[in-house]
Amino acid sequence: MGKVIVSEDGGPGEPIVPGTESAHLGPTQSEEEEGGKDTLDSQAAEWVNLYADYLYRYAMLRLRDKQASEDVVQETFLAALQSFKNFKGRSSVKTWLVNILKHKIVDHIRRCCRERRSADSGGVLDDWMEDAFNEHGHWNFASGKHPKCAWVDSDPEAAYDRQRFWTVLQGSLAHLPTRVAQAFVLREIDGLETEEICSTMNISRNNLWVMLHRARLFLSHSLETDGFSVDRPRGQKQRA
Amino acid sequence: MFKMKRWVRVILWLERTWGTRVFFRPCREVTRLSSESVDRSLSLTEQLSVRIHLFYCRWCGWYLTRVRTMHQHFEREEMDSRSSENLSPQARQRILQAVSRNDEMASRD
Repeated sequence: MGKVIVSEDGGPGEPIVPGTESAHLGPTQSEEEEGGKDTLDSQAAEWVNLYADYLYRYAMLRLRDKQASEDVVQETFLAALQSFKNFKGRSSVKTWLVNILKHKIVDHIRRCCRERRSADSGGVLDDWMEDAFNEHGHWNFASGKHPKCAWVDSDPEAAYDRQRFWTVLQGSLAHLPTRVAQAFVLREIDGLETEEICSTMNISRNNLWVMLHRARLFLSHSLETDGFSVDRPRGQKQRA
Repeated sequence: MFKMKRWVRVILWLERTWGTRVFFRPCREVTRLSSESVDRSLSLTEQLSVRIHLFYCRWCGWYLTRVRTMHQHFEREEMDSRSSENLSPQARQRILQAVSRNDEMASRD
């Protein structure tokens, strides 16, 4: 049903679903190929206009390198053009492109981590962690880096500003060393498993856990100081 | 500094003199464990030591809920990156060129 509608309405600007041409007897082989290329060309330009910014920001959050992000986005579009035949239209174009981009990003990180094997878990974070705990290993309350209140999860009243949360988070991530931030983003935001990240970043599991621990400690503190509004003082929670 | 109960102090003193921290780990260790609890399943002694610690340290309890909240939050929510900067016009032009060049090459083949 849907196929028929698409093939009937298929003007120059309409997306052409691959496989519909073979469903009915259409133009000759050469004509079909030419038409397909034209639409592919215009469609690629359209994709670049529509999704390039999103993909770039997506890559930028993970790679934190302008040049690398641009390259990865370009590779993604080229790969998308080549594998357009395999795109069945089951998901939206954006999701499909993001999936390709994810693979490209992982490939890029893998290449980078293979080149420089120094496992820098971050001197900045080491300094920061130094005075978070005192000599007994307990919270150093003088430094003010201990959690100051509980966070309330899934609270309908805490209608926080989503965009502001991501802005604050990205600002805090920018303070982290590149590799720690990459590990955190891969684990938490992309939801990869530990093993995958270890093989990608070429580090041991313990190393990864230490990096994640530091990143979480730092982010928890900086989200609190920036007033991310999911957290509320304990008294307010009891009153509500 | 928070004040600890006497029985806690006694066992803590025992562990200190023994030289191993099994049940009474300091906050530094417990924060590490609570972070790792998201990534792997803790062993029984580790779980127990975290439980014991949470009896007398509310800050670590807050930290544990925070770590879990963050994890659940990221699982649920999709990233919203509208605030960060966009692709530069030069880079966009370059990508467009690369894409069209790729098309030409494909048609030549």
